[in-house]
Parts: sequence; structure tokens; C-alpha cells
Amino acid sequence: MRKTFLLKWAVFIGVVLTAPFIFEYLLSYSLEPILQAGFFVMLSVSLALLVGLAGQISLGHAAFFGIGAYAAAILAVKFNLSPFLTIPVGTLIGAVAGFLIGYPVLKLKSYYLSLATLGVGMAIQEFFKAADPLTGGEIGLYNLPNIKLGGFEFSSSFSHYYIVWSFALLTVFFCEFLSRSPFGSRLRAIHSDEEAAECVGIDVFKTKLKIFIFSSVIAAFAGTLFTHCSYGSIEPGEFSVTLSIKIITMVVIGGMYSIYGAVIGAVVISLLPELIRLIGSFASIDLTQVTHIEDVIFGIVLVIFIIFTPGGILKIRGESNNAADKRSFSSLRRVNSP
Amino acid sequence: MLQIREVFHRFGGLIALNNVSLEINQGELVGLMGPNGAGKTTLFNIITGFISPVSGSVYLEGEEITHLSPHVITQKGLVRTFQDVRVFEHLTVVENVEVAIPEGRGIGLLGGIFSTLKTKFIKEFVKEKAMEYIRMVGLSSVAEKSPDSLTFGQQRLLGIARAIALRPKMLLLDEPSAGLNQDETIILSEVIRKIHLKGVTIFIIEHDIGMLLDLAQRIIVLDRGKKIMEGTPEKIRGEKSVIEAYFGKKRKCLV
Repeated sequence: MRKTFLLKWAVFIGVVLTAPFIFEYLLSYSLEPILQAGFFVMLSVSLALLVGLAGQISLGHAAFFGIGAYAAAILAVKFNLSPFLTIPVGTLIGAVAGFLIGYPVLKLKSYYLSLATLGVGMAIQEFFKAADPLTGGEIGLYNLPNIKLGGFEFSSSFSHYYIVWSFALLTVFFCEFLSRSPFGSRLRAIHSDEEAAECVGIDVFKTKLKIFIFSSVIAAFAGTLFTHCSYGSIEPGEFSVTLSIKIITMVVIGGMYSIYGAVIGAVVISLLPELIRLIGSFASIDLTQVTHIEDVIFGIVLVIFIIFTPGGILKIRGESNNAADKRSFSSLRRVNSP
Repeated sequence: MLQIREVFHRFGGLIALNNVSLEINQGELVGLMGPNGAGKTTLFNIITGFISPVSGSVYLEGEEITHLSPHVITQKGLVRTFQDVRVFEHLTVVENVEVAIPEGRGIGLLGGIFSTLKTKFIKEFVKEKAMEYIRMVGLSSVAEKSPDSLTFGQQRLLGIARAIALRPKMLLLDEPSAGLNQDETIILSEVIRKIHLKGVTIFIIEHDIGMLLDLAQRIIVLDRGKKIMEGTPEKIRGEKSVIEAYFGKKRKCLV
């Protein structure tokens, strides 16, 4: 048990450390896709806690990513604060938003919860567009500062990659711990049957609220990093419902239930556009010219996975056990019949 | 132990409970019977906080619990099981019992992430305790399996193990023998008796009248939301006419 755990992590860390060199020097490719994958890992793992473990399907996860990103960007651009302040304060604002949004919407169940989070997500994106003096409206905010430590500025893609992925690894590590802890078991109990969970003394609402806030905090934290370790600019279009759906797709591909699955789902989905481009270039068609080709393919992938392998990618590898398959099946059934 | 005073409840126009009062003493094993729709499960739902009654009140050890949340009532030591079992399918058999062990609640979200010596100790304690209860109901061979793979009877026993893992002062069992075969019913009666011997007060809804007359020290009969009878099994057995009126004459076990 312990041995496979260590081995898994050794491989995982090894891949993360070497990936940029392979991309840059062997493939002479941009680091952009694997940098973005780091953000997606944080987002999908945090959503997996909420959707996979606790069974609370949120379609507004991108909003918290946006709240973190905008909070950090506004503090940096308008108030001239250093990233060492904007990152913790932005994350804190994410926690407050998680509480303020989670408290009312978690009173709702199944479809209603999903619809409410969808609505809140859209409203927050509209707010980013509308609150021009603060958020820069449709154009967004730009000239966002890099993280500086002493005299060194983390401005290269390489440095961004390593910062983002070290936090992504920490997130995966802690979330995996959480999912195996008694708290994780309580979340699964809630997922199975809320009334029965109350009857073993679990404060269902409070537990759901806690994991909702925790999930929002990670998303907002990822957002603050996105502000300081990515393009150097943010715009409202990046935090749309499409992104929320993309994150859900990652969780489903990973098998709904497993933290490691969510990691694999995130990596696969974030590299998928590059793969499409690659396939297109072999066939000498520029597939990127086809409008929304990515979204179409995400949709197809999602449907294929739901129909054929509800156990997710790990099941194809033959790793997940019988119980986990059943878990995924039943969680999907639950979506269909509240 | 448990006092129910003048509880009245209705669903729309249907009166489910019509000013029901009853009392259960410390250490008693009391049966609740009555035909379908008599209000038995509604009464359980009111006692355990799932339904707030229109009027009336419920007291546990002298303290009013009428409008408290189910999890608060559970934590006070009043624990129920369900007619339709309701195991947690996302947890293994042993984890189903682990979540119920009160000490485990000490490990919250942050405690789950940052494992200290104390949380490690609690985790081991919880696991050990859970296995103890699993053994008590004879499920140790399937402890690591998904509860989906258990028979209905085994799931029911798991439900009871989960309930006693909460170390209840009082246990409400809602038709524990429904859907069980004869052998399983015998094991179940044995387990219930064992729990009762440990000093747990038990209030049990049961359709298997033979089992109820055999187990209970006192029986309460409900019909159409009213308490129509109360007494020892001997007395209930004697009141043949009343029983026949509600259950028909075919039940051999009554004669």
C-alpha cells in the first residue's frame, strides 16, 4: 500500500519535472498547454471533492477561478500590491465568496443545485464584464505583474510552469489525503444518502458547506496564480460556463470518484486541443479554423465516457476495483433520478 | 427515557397521528404495531426529527427534542434504522460502520488533510471499533467489500451494526425483519436481544408479530393515527378480537 503510494508519487513528480524539457527541447513545442494543465489539475481535483466525493454537482466552478484571478489582478493593478499579498488575499476572497454562494445554493438538491450554480456562474461572469472601472470590462485587465523574489522575477514560462505545478502537486496530495480521511468518508456517506447520513450524526448541511468552501478556495487560489503566472492578462471570456463544463468533463473522464482520475482527466482534456491540431496537421487541414471544434469534441468525449466507461480512464487501465465502478454507476444514476 | 406528549400531525387532509402520547422507560424493549397507514413510521420520523409535528412534543431524558435536526438528535443518543436499510453504497462495509463511530467526528476537514499523531490514533481506534461491531453481526468476511454485493439480510445487519456503532442510549428499529428469511430473522432477534442486554432501550416497529410478541416487554398498538391498545405481550395475545380486526384471522402465530 505504502510502497505503491510512494512509487505512484515518484513517477508523478518525475513526469512533472521532466515534461517541460521534453516539450521545449525534444518536441520544440510551447510550454503553454502543460502550464495550463497545471491550473486544470487544481480545478478538476477541487471539483472532484465536491462532485465525485460529496455528490454535489456544481456547474459554476469557473466563477471561483475567476473571482481569485480578478481579486488578485485588481489588487495588483489598481492598488499596486505585491503578489505575496494579492495571492493570499485573493484566496481569502474566494473563501468568502464560497461561503456567501454556498450557503444559499446548498439548501437545494440535485438538478436545482446544478442550475443554481450555473446561474451564479453566469452572473459572476457578467459582473466581470459590467464592472468596468474595477475589472476593465470586456477587455479585462493586463500588464499583470509576475512574482518577484529578491532580485529575481519569475517571468519565463519555465518558472511559471514550476510554480504552478508545485502547487498543483500539493493540491493533489492534500486532496487525496482528505478523500481517505474520516471527513472524506462522511462526504461519501452524504453522496450515498443524505437522510441516512443525518442518522449517523453527520451535520449534512455544514459538511457540504465546508467542502464547498474548500473547493472554492482551491479554485480561487488557482485563479490568483493564473493572474501572476500565465499570460499576464485576464478577460471575462476565460471564466465562462464553457470552462465549468470543461472542468466537469475532466472529473467525469477521471471516473467521478477518484482524485488521481481527476488529475488524468485534467491533463488529457488540456492537451486535447493540441492533439486535435496535430492530427489536423497530419491530414493537412487546419482544424482550429473550424469554429468551436474543441467544444464539440469535449461534448463527444463526455458522452462517450458516460455511456461506455462510467468508471473513467482508470477503469480502462483496469486499475479501479469493482466497488469503485459501482460507485461511479450509481453516482451517474443519481444524476438521472434525484 | 422517551416521552411523547399529544403529538398531532397531518399530511394535507389526512390525519396521520391524532394526539398520540406514550412513554418508554429506561431499559425497556417496546414494540409498536398496527396495520399499514397506522402512522408508525410517521411517529418514528417525528421522534427522530425528520418531521416537525403540527402540535405536541417529544422529550428525551426530560429534554425537549421536538424541533431539533436529525443529526443533533442522533448525537444525543437516540438512533434509528430505516425500513429500507439505506446503507452507504459509496463506502465499503466496514467504512459504513466507521462513519458512525462518534470519535471519528473529531477529525474534521483540516484534520483530514494534516495527519497528526492524534488523528492517526483516532483513525486506528475507529477502525478497530468498527471491526468489532462488524464481527458482532457476523459480517467480518465481507468487511472490505462494497455493500452492493451483500444480500438484503446482510445489508440489514449492517444497518444495525451502523446504528449500534453510534453507542445509542435508545434505538428505534423500523421493521428490522422485513424481507428477511427465517434464518436471518433468528440471527436478527438474537442481535436485538444482545443489544438490549447491554442496557440499550429499544423501540421497535415490527410486522412479524410472532417475533414481536416473543421479544417485547410491552406492546403499543396504533391504528389510523390513534393509540388503541397498550400492554404486555400476554395481554395483546389475549385481545384476540382486536388483533383479528386489524390483521385478519389467518395469522397462525397469534392463535
